[in-house]
Amino acid sequence: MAEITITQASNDSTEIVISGELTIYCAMEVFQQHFKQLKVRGLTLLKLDNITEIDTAGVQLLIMLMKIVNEQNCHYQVISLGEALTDYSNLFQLNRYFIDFEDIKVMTTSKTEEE
Amino acid sequence: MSLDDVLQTFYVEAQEHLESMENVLLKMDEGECDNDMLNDIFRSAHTIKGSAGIFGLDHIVSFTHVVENVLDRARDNEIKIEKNLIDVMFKCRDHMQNLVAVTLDEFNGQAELQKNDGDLLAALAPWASADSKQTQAKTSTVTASQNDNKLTDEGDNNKLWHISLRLSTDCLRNGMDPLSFIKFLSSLGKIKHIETIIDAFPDSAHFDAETLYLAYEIALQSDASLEEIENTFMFVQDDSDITILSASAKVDDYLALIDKRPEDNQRLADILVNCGSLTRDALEQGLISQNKKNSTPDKQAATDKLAGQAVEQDKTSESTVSIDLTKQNKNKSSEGKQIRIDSNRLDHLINLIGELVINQQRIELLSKDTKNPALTEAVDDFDNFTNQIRDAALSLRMVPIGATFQRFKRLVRDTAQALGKDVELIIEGADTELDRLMVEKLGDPLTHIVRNAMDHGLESIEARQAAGKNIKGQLKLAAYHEGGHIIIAISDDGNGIDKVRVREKAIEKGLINPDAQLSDNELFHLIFHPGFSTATEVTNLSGRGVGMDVVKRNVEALQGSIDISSQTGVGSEFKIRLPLTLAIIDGFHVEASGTHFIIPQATIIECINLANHQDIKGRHCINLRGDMIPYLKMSEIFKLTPSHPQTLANNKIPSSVKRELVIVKFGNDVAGIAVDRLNGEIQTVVKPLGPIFKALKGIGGSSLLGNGEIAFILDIPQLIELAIANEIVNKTGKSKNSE
Repeated sequence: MAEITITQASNDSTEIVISGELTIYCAMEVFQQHFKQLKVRGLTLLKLDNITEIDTAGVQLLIMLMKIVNEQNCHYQVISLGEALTDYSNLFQLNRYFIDFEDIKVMTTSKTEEE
Repeated sequence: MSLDDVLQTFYVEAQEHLESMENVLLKMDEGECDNDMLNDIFRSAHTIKGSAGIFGLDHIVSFTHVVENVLDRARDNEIKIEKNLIDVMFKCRDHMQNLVAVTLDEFNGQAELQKNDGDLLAALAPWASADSKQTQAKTSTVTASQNDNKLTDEGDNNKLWHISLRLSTDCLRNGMDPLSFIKFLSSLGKIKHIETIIDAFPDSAHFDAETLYLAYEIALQSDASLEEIENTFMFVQDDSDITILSASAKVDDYLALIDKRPEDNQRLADILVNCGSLTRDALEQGLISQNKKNSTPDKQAATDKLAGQAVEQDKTSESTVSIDLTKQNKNKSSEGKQIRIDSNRLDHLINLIGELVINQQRIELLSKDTKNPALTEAVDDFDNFTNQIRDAALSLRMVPIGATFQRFKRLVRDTAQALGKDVELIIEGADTELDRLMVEKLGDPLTHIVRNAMDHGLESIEARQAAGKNIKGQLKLAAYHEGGHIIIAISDDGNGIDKVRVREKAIEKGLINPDAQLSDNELFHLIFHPGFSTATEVTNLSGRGVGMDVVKRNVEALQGSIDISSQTGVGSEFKIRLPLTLAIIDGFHVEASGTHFIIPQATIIECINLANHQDIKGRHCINLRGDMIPYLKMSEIFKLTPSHPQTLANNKIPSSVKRELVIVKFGNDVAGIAVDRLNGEIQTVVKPLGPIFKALKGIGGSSLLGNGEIAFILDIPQLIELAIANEIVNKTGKSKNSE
């Protein structure tokens, strides 16, 4: 089960730390409890290096999280990936989603500044 | 289809492939070996490996990879199929069966299984290539995160495939993760490019965390066949849209793919170009070519947009292999002659039809009371259709005995090897069909009889030579129909049962008196006594006297019987006689002292009026056209209280009650069943007896009649045996075994 910590920093930014297993077994709960009503401010920093296991449902959650941030006209930055996500990302050649963010920009209407 | 269902399908299919492997190995063991056989066994191993890979069952993948490698080398004539290799392959096949039975975690927790894994891989080493030996060295304990991208260094000779995946949106919910497929594809070759398309993502308000929104365009470089790539998706292809294009696919095929997909055409075209599956030039030229063929204004505009600019050049593509799996599967299913059905569903159907039959009988009774001709006619039609439905449903559960017989090839081979005997197994009547439930329960009794025949019946090579027999002993398994029953015959051309030895042993164990006069049949049946064995030495195969009594009990539990015939020096035959089915039978409804009984119709020869025949010398025996027929009175056997007051008062049968005699036959034995009334044919839904009735001899089951009353189904073999035994006692004043 994944642990989600959301911290609103004083410098008008939000830090989201995800730890543990981000898989189909908890995807619904994580989305309902933490992401669906998520409100972010300014730049959102995503710290993902403590994710110990991730599957496609988990990756979809992360993509949805990025989309939610963009829907609120905010920007995000992935500050760490971790081994599990890196492995998945390498296999699916997804690095641009987590590093370059080109496609997230394409699919969302807002623009990101992190590029 | 849920993950459990898919896994179940994997286990069933793996079992089929393992059986296929065993059959090929048995043929190879007999000296046959051709390319088709090598391809068959390779394909079986490869499919098991592939399917296991999809489920992350890496312990199966790593072991089977080496087996597959050896078989592949044999296919390429790099190694020869020799006796030693066949022996090792048999063991590998058995080990694969054990591997399929456990999960990865269970495998990692079982030291013995891992040791066997290592031992067999070492045994395969002389035939395996260096590449597979390296793989083997790495995989003594397999981890779930294994992602063996083994073909990354392969040359450019591999073909480039394009795979366009739009998996079912329920894929994740059903326990299937695209991760498994991509991992498996990477084991087939090198994934040159994979484009994960996120266009189908909804906004956050409509997001369902368990729905798959991702789509994939994949360029795979691999020498795998189309079938192998297709098989990657065999468990999800029903609800998915999967297109696989080969390297020689035409540009038109890619354009058709672009048209078919919901994504923006320009974007998808870019993705295909990014994948390297087609070049920008080829795309543009293809569009122009298509443009020329379909020059309507709308299409012109669309293709112009894609092409960007017009190029005045025709291009002729190479041959096409474009496979739309969805369409292909539809074709497959329409052409398919067989479907796989969960046996529990069939059992449920048979149970429901049993209830239908009972209700139909109730309606029939009620309609008779109304005396309405139109209703009676309609009910007769209903009865006719119910019979047809019953027969059709029961036939669904019938399976050929052949598959069961085939399994004995391996048993015979291994047993013969262990005993140092040369034995040929002959199978006859493999197409004979039997109720699946009975086939399942026949396995153990048959195994006991076959082992006994090989251990005690068939002689050693030296003994056969000395007796002037062919050194190769013959063991025959045959199945055929006889008088409404199925006969399973197990015969051998061995030494036969030693009658003197059986007699001595029976006397020693106190089963018979030393001066008892027994027929051969009675003597042979003594071997079914618990603990009876004439073997002078106990082997690990047989001789402990455990088994033959269990064999008899198991066969009788199936409403069957066993006959034995044996001739010294010539051989023995065990004949198992079984009913066709145990679920719903054609019965004959009779009454005795107000109690209802059902006699299985297949056993009935005729019905006669008992009043027209005189008992012989006061015994329950009549002369029927020259044959002495012993009979049993149901009222006496089951100690039934007469339901007629007159009978109670003077112990005489009232004139309103006719004595009827139903002549029944089982095997070669004939007897009569005396009853008060014959009520006629009836479809009988067989219900098992409760534990309280288990000890009751002569009753095999029960059934519910249309009027709600219970009828007892007579166990004819037991009753005939009892009638004959009674006749012997009445005739001689002694029981048959203690004369």
